[in-house]
Amino acid sequence: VSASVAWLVAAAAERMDLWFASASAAPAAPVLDPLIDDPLLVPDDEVREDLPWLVIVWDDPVNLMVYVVMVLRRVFGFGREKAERLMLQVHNEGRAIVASEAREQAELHVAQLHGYGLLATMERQD
Amino acid sequence: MAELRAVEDGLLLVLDADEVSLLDTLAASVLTRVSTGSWDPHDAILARFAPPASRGDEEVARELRGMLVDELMEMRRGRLTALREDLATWSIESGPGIERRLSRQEAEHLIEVINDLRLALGASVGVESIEREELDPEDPRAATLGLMDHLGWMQGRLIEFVET
Repeated sequence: VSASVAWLVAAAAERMDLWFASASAAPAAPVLDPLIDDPLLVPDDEVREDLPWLVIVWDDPVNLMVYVVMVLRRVFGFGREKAERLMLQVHNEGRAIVASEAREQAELHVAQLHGYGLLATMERQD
Repeated sequence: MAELRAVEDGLLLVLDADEVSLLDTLAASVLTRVSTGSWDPHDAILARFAPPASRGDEEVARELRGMLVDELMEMRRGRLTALREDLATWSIESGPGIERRLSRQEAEHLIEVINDLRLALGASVGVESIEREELDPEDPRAATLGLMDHLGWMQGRLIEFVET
């Protein structure tokens, strides 16, 4: 952090209204747009209900890498090595499949990941 | 400038009065945002706190959002309220250099609420579409991102503490 905290505080105080006023007018974040061509998705007529669901974590520019590792360890009980490998996959490739499981369990995990602030989705496994 | 160091029974966090004030002001702002009682998908901060649960299956995304959005907002309200209540205690008990001993559990709670503040700051300036290397230091968004980074430094040190 190159700027002093005092400067940040002063700048922040001046901009307090701007921060959250501008947020309302901000366009929807591209990262949140649906990915129509996601290769993980299959047409409805090919969906098999007995197939598990994939839980996917997506890269984002705010969450620290160490934070992602911590969250993956907490939510899924992964060892450090596995959590770090998945985090690096998210960082380098934009996303990583972190679980393949029944729908209810996938919903629970996505909810937990959202609670920690990670971008997570679930898709039917092909 | 914040300092964090391990002590015998946990972690010692030392903050400037300005930092305590800033944390409280930020927490109050975000708390107001998540307390509106309605979730607006066009509000970048609220959208970031309850992102789509599917990127392609609108039915799944809609269904899960309906199930989760209240819980996700309530979770943030709880964390932010707890932080503000705690910060008020720090301010009363201490002088300009504010020391706070944190247990591992308290450090974990602080990590989570700092993350909420960082997500809100990032969403407020549309961080995902900013090329930071090309951002003019005079651009007002630079101050917001600088603050996000400063909180990230603090968060990183706290994570280092709880993960070791």
